[in-house]
Amino acid sequence: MKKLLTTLSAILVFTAVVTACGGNAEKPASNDGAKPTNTANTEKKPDSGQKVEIKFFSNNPDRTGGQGKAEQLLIDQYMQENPNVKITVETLSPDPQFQDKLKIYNVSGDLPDVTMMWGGARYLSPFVKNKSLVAFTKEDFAGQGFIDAAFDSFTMDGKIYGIPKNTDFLVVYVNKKVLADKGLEPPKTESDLFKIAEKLKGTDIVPMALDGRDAWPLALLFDAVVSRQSGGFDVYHKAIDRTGSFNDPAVVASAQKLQDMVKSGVFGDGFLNLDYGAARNLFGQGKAAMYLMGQWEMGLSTDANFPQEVRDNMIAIPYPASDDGKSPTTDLLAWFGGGYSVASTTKNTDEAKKFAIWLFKKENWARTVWQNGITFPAQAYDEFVTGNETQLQKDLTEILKSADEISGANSQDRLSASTSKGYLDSITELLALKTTPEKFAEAIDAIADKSHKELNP
Amino acid sequence: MEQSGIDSFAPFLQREMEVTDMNKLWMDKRNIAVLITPGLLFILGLILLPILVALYLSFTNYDGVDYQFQGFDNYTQLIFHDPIFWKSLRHAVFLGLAFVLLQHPLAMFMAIITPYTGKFERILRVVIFIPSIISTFVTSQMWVSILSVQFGLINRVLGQVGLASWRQDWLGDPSIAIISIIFVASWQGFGYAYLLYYAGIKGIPSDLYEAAIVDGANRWQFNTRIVLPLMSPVIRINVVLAIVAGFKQMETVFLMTGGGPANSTQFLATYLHSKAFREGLFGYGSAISVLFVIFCLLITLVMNRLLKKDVGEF
Repeated sequence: MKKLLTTLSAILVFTAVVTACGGNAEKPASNDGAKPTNTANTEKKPDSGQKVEIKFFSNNPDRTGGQGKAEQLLIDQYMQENPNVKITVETLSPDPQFQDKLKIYNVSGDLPDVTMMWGGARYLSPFVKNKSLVAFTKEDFAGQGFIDAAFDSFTMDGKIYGIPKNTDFLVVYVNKKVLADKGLEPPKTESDLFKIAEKLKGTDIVPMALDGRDAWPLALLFDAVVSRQSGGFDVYHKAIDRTGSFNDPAVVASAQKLQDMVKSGVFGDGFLNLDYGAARNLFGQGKAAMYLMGQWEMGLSTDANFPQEVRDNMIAIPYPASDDGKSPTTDLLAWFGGGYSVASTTKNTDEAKKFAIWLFKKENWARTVWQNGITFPAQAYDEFVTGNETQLQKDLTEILKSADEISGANSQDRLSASTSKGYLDSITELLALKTTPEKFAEAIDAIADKSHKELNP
Repeated sequence: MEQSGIDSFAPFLQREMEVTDMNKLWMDKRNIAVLITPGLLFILGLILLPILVALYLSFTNYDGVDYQFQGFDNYTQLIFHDPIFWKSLRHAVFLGLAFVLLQHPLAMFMAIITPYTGKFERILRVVIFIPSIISTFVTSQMWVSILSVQFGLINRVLGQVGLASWRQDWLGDPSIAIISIIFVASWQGFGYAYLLYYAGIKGIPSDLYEAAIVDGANRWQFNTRIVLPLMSPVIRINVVLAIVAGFKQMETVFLMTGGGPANSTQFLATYLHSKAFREGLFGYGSAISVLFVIFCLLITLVMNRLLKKDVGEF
């Protein structure tokens, strides 16, 4: 009896230990909880050569529209051309959650083979520090028409860790009809914004839809306002390089202007808890006259979820010029934020790198995104212009072409990973009217200082 | 005893011997060790070890990649230079208090009333409990739409009944958002609080009710003099649960405001998440979690002291 019991318990312990180890070896993805959509390509192609499975991590859950569509079209094409390669896609949205998970992947040494990546020290440095990304050279992309500066934000210590996929710039989408109904015109200067807000007061039309909950659009707005106030983009660049300071009259004046905009209702009520989708919807459903967002919303006018009448009346304009003419609309807040990186730590690194380079052949990425009206590639796309472009595509092209001063990286992307959240919080606080412009300038100057020290130890 | 011979005890004796044999087996230290090992390993590996690691990391500046030991830096920073941490703690205490002072009296009241509603009793308890069965994600999203400024039900109704000036930016105004969050969290947790009280009331034997009626008590007297005192163990558990729920509040806040705007609805758990996972300051996040655990222990201790009282058997 006694022996039996001892034996039994020994077996129990043994199985427990074995199953526990087995479970570990299989690597339970403990942080997989928040995965709203998970598209997997299970299509199998006949064998040829060594079978390879590449994991692709994307922030575009919608695989039938927008950049998700471009990704999927090219992935499918690549699998067709290379039957031995199977690419499985994992998606997660919105971006902050995506970035959280990407960080966890990085820390746990489990980075997907190819992943969406953002440029700038803020995102890139933890990965570079962990040596988890493949370095590319410019020769890898020779002849693909890349804009030279596009690689800058993905370059650290002289090495390229990501392939830029868009030319990003801040614009204002306008619903012509909503404005015209009230006898208004699209804004040309910042004071026009106040006039529009004044005229729309008391109606249920929001003058300018703004995604305030995510905070990063607020920081883009701040950059734009500062550039109009100071006549260029030097103020924040210098403040972050510590060759200048945020404790600058132009910053204080811009902060004041932003608070005035909030007070006069330019962004409507409740914009601080409006998330990306809600702000976009407000505009798409004709409930907002304008919408502040990047060029990547180029597909707004083809989004079938919105009423035809609204879509037909959409145009895009640059962020309005300063009233004193110091900063015209040709000063454009434009940067190369998004791209793809390849993990250096997986067994498929070489295959994944090959795929990434193939993806960015101009007839692949640049042609696909342009001709499907998805976004502006970071590559020359002139040869793919068809003449069937939408109004928004034409407007945006015009804005980009006429820009004669380009900002380069925006302020939040230049800060270190641990300080950028505080920076965004400060801007939110400013727009929530919870601080004064002077205190705000001091606060973000301290943050810039801390960031500089962290990035240049 | 006298009537039966000693023989008739034989089966009992044998069983007794088997029992002592069994007892010996159970008392054997080696067997005990072997039997508790799996559970112990499990707890050690999955609970204690991570806690120790977190404790260790809280003394470092771990950012997910590498770290240096830096003593109590995180703690001094948290305690002396981090107003948001204290704000989060204050919000947690607020929420706990709101649970205890607003949600629970109401839940208790409903629980006392329910048995008197006759044929509506069943339906009432189902209806009250429904919000607790629906996933937090769904109810949070629902409240976000109800509280939306432009399209929200509340603001629309207010506008239509001519109270347009009462309309608020329920979740976007930093001074109101916290109240909205507390309201929604109370609403979500109401079902469970109610259920415990209701079960407690149902557990009171009906003879007590009959005895009270015979003694000439009315319903009010019965409920205040007999039901309430007998409920005190349930109340104690519920209060502890409420405070703990206030402290570990995460998902509702995370889904409704994400701690914003400008940290005005930050709670300990959301702040910890934001520090560790969004800013990549895992060392700092660990320090928050350690303080978090210490606060929870302290509160449990205090509550146990305060609520220590036995009602006796019934």
